[in-house]
Amino acid sequence: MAGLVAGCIVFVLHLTLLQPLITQAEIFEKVSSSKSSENMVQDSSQNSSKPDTHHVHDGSEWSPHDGIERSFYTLIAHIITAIAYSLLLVAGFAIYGRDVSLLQGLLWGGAGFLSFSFLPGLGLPAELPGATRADLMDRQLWWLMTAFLSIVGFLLIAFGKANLLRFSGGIVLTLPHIFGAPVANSTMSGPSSPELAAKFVMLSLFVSVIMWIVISFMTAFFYMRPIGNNYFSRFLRR
Amino acid sequence: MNNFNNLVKDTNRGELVQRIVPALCGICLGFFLLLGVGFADAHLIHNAAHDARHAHSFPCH
Repeated sequence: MAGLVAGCIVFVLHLTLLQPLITQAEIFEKVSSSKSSENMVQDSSQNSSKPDTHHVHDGSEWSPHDGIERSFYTLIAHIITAIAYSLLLVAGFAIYGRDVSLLQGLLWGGAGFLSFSFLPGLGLPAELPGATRADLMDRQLWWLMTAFLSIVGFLLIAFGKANLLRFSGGIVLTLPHIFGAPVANSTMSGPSSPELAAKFVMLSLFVSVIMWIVISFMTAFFYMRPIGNNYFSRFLRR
Repeated sequence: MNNFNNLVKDTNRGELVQRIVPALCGICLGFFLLLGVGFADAHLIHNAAHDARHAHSFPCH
């Protein structure tokens, strides 16, 4: 339920804030790739290779048509993502095993936002289509490793009994950033303007913040609901 | 008394299992969904979830 509502809210924010930027970036990307393919034809004797900074969809692959179909699949993807995060959050509450007040729920959600959106974004900020980047597998591994280590770090800081454990939680949090995110080999920049990319990063973080607030509020509320009659006062307590 | 202690221990263990097992199932399902939407390499899933992947800063392409 929390995932469904959060996914729908994220979808509305996505359509109004992010989709125009993605569409604009794709226009830049198409123009840039058509230019580079023209260059390839002209410079074929010089063995020029197409830059790996662009992804061009093969015409034979299925992809949703622009408009309602594309938006529909985006909505489904947002709902599934929000449900996935909600499940992880409720699982955390269940293992915690005690009452989760609104404030505690928001704290858990804040840790979720930092672990899944902000800290991976420090190394690998949200990208517009066509941006220059490193190998996909390296980036995916770094992203997952950062999310996992961030969760472990926050758990150690929040529930570590000894100071040493809390301190090691801080170390675990910073490890992936000391190790460093994979960087692109190419020194070229993507076809979109840096202004557009910067706006996209900020807006996607804003959308993530809203998603995590909705998810943490609703999951804490529904988690407390079956516990007793006075759940509302227990939910609102500090 | 010994029997009573064992009973308490069993009840606690039962409660713990009742709590932890669904939580672990939730974690597995949550990660399965997250990996599916954000990380699956299949072109079909990638193209369908493309815009959402960019929005959630999942590495894409």
